[in-house]
Amino acid sequence: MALNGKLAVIDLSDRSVSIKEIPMSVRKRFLGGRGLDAYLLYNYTLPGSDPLGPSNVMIVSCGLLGGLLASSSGRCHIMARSPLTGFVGSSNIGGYFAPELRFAGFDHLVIRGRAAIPSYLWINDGRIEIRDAAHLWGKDVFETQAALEQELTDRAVQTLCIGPAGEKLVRFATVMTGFKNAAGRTGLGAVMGSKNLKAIVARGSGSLDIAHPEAALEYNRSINERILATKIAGTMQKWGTMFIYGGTNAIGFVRTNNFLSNQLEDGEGLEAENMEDVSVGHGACFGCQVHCRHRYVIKEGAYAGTYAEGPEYSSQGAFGSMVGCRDLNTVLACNHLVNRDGMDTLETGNMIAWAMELFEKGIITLADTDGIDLRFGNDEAVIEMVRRIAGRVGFGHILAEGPLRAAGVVGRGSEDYLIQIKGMSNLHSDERPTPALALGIATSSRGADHIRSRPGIDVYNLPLPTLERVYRDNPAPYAGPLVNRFDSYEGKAWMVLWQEHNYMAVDALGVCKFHTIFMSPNLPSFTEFSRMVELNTGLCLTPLQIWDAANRSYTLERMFNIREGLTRAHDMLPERYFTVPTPAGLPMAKGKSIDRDRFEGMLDEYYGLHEWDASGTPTPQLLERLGIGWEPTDVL
Amino acid sequence: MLGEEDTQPKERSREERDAEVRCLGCLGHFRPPSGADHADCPHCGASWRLTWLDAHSVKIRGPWKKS
Repeated sequence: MALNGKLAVIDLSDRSVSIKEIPMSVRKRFLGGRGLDAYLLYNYTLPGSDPLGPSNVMIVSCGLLGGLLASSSGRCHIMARSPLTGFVGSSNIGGYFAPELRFAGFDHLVIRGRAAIPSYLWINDGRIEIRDAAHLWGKDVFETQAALEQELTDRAVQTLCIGPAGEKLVRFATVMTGFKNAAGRTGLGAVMGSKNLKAIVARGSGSLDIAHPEAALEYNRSINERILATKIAGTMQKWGTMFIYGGTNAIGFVRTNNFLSNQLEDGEGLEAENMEDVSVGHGACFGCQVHCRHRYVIKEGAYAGTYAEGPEYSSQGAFGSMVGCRDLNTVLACNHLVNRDGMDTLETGNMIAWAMELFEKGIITLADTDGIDLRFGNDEAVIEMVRRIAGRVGFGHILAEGPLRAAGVVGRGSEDYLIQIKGMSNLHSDERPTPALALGIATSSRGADHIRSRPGIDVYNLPLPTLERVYRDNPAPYAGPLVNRFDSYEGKAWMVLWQEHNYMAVDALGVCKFHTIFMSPNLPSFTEFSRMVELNTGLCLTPLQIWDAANRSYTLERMFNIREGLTRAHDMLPERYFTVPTPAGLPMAKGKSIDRDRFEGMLDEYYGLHEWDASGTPTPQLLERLGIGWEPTDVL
Repeated sequence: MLGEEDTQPKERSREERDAEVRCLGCLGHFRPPSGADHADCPHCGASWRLTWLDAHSVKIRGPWKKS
């Protein structure tokens, strides 16, 4: 069957490799990918493990549908205790690595210990070698992948690697594959760097036996047709996620100058349509029909002539609106730099934007910034700070520590200007006009984030019948209200919870979030997931069983976080969300702030729907029902 | 906002949907003239720059700044 992939436990300290079967009972309960990773992280780490120490484990996986006949089934998931937040470190990455790992015979890798010397893993058709990587240390992401292809004399190998930022333990370093695919959030590149692990290379020639191949092929075709029929897919095909910027900035949903505004005036230069001047085509991840990724050549400045891929909407904010820059060339250059050196575009942009607000307010001066003029809109300063953070040079060394630690060093009340939750900075979105989205970033298991629980379709004020179709009894029972105004607090807790489960299922199956109900209500979710799993793997899981598996895994992430010190206070927005109204935008977005009492009420409702107590702790009854209160931890 | 009234929308074909935009100001649907670079919302009067995915499919790009 398709689910023959093994679990490999690799100890870099004693250079041992142990290969284990993954029991079907565990598959059914946690699926794969992020779901099963949560189970492994909880069981393979001791409480309080140093995120950058040998006792932290890094887990790499493909999803249950990885490499199979499902739309965009190439997603890879990486998990560890985060060196940025101290809580769950979790990030998802596209490209082609995960299917190759599965073709090589492995579905999950648990990597622990620390190699004595720089090393890489060579995973080739069921065998795993730990190899010397001293000659790769210091190389950037692109050089590393090219060198490994040459060394292994195979251009078809797929590589996960870190760049210089990961080697230098920048706390928001990424794990990369290809030119722009990034496991971007929570600093997993630093975990890899702390293990002296430069790269993981996979090559496999194994086949995956699909349970019902003809039916799976036909069903996948119908799903692809459905995806491609949406207007959102057509838009993504032409402009990628960059298309989002024009509309969100027009409304006033775009965080600007750190948090001083919610709209970048005269920001037309950042709009996706400007990519037509530099684009040389589009690319895609494994098994995807949409091809949302720009391929481009930088035309101006210090990096003119450089080929790169992306940028995404996140980089338009990180190196555009958040830092007050209106020149797309700055976004393109910084996007190239963070991908080359292996850093999270969002955290990098946030750190610079935060420093700029401090600079503008006189909290820090040229004496703090190595003489760099950090006024908003200084394109050259932004590009220089990206370089300095990656190299941990001067003031960049402080910013490389991430928001809470950097504020601890700077002091002077600087923490008040961070836009972070649980120690991780937010997307450049401004959620003050949208309580549902605010609840999502506050409660996300990995920190402020838009792709762990965001009910993105809430901003469309969709017709109620559409909301009923998406949220009512699909598949879990819900009898509460559904309200289609995005400024309402009513019924939003369920939308956040529903999307948590949906995104967890997507991450556990190893497919792309853009192919589910994220930006369109007309895309697949639990019913379709159930059918895909059955036709591909033969596992008969009802939509409700997939929902329960997602709930089980999300609850384990919560339990992990509580074990590491999480309290209700961590599920909280930055103070300025409550106290400072949005100054710009259309009437629906202007003058908005989050009502503290109503937010607390929404949080209570969210906990209650989860069967968590008032402190946010899962109840014994929930753990018993999910079967994770009593399970032995040595099953795998 | 029109989004609230739009609780029983008529079924629209893909062609109709692609040819329409949704006003960012009032969330009402309208069909701009083919190939236009901007259009006014007939419901609230807001002016929008337009972007065309192809000859038949249009989206709002941003606000139209009247000179």
